[in-house]
Amino acid sequence: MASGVSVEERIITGLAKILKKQPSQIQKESRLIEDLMLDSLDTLDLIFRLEEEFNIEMPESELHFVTVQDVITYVQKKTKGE
Amino acid sequence: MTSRRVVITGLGVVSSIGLGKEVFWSALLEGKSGIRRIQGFDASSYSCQFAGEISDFRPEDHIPPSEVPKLSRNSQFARAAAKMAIDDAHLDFSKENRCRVGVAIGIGLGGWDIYEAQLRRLFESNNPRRVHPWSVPLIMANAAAGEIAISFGLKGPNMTFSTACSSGSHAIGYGCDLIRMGKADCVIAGGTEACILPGVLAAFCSLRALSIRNDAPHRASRPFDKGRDGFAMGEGAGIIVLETLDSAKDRGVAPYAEVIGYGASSEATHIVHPEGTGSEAARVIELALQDAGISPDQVDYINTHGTSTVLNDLVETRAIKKVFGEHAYRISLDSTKSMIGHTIGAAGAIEGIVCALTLQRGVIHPTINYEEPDPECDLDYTPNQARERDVKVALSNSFGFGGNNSCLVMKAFS
Repeated sequence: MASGVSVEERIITGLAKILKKQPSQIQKESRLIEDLMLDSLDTLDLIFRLEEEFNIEMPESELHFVTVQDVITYVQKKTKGE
Repeated sequence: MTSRRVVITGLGVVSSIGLGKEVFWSALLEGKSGIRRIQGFDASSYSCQFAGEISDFRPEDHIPPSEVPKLSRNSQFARAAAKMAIDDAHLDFSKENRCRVGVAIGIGLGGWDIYEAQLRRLFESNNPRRVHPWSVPLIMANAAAGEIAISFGLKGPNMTFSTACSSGSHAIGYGCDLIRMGKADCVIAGGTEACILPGVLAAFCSLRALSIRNDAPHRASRPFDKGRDGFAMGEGAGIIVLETLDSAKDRGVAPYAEVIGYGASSEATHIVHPEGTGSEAARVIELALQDAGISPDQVDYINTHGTSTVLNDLVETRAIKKVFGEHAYRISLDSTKSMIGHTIGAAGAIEGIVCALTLQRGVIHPTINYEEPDPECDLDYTPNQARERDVKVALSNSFGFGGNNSCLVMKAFS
């Protein structure tokens, strides 16, 4: 699905920017906190970027991400819903 | 109280006339102006369209690139200047007790570059979710002091002083007090400011505190000259390393100067106007001299607050005459603001650095743009040309909005 690939790439690019890494260093299976060492402010930064990039709202009650794939799946659902 | 002597062993400067103490010092002696038309935004509708902007500061040259976006401009200046000062002092904190190293930073406003940008996002989108989550830690006034502590692992007292134009001076004075009181052995002290921004400039224009000499920006800041018409905004940072004389000796580092006195007082008269007779400004100078245990006739040099406003320069001159009497005419004075403008929270710290270099090198930088003497300001302001003079004792005056006055006394180290 073309739009799905695009969402995935855009999320990984956004994460790479926050973490100052190359996109190739970020795997879909990577855990945000344990593997990528995202701290609380980085996580807020990610949510901020995603809301802006995909024009979505991410209420606190829906945020239960462990891996990068969780974020991708969430954003895909959110954007498809609209 | 047992006296613990405090010396300055490292200097770091970020200014519109040079990055680093040597470039800065050469520019000061040449009488170079850092005041130009504002490049950062379109200021053509403002009553004052110029400032001492820093055009050649690349944060990546001083700070790990990944950390740059997480710092407001004033914190970038402060981090860069702190690194310069710490390197200059040959300090290796892995060999020091970091819990005994404090930080004291002056800043007038805070991260208003971030604040203005985020307010714009908020008002343009009408959506509070468009305000970046990093805004608070970047805007808060104590961000620079926190960042310095984090980057060097300094765990002693960490204080921020916001007393407008005297912030940087109070930070240095308080840093000395911390060491003298035995609460720290070393303090990274100074000031920083980066507020040449549309909103801040508009506010200062409305206050009619700024010069409007738009046809000749480099000649606009002219402290003590009869034609002065207000100050020029500046930006930058000045950070120094303060430590005990014993610690400098143990480390084999030669101090630039010794800080021997600090006076702090409040005018308690008006929120921006200085008390007109100069008696309040005189009082803080006297407090500093008493603290230093020296008599007025021992003072050779004063780095004035010298803003280029009609009132400040007149009142400061009156204050100096009150304290020093006939000796006032034998003291060399100058104004660093004639070249870099008023760097607000950084001013007192940058000017403290000038005092340290003047004591070490025996040259007094000029007050530039001094063309027509003002009969009411008749002291020796070192007009237009640097002058060699053996300086034993130097003063740095800082008078802030809010009636917040500070004076530092330094002595040549021999």
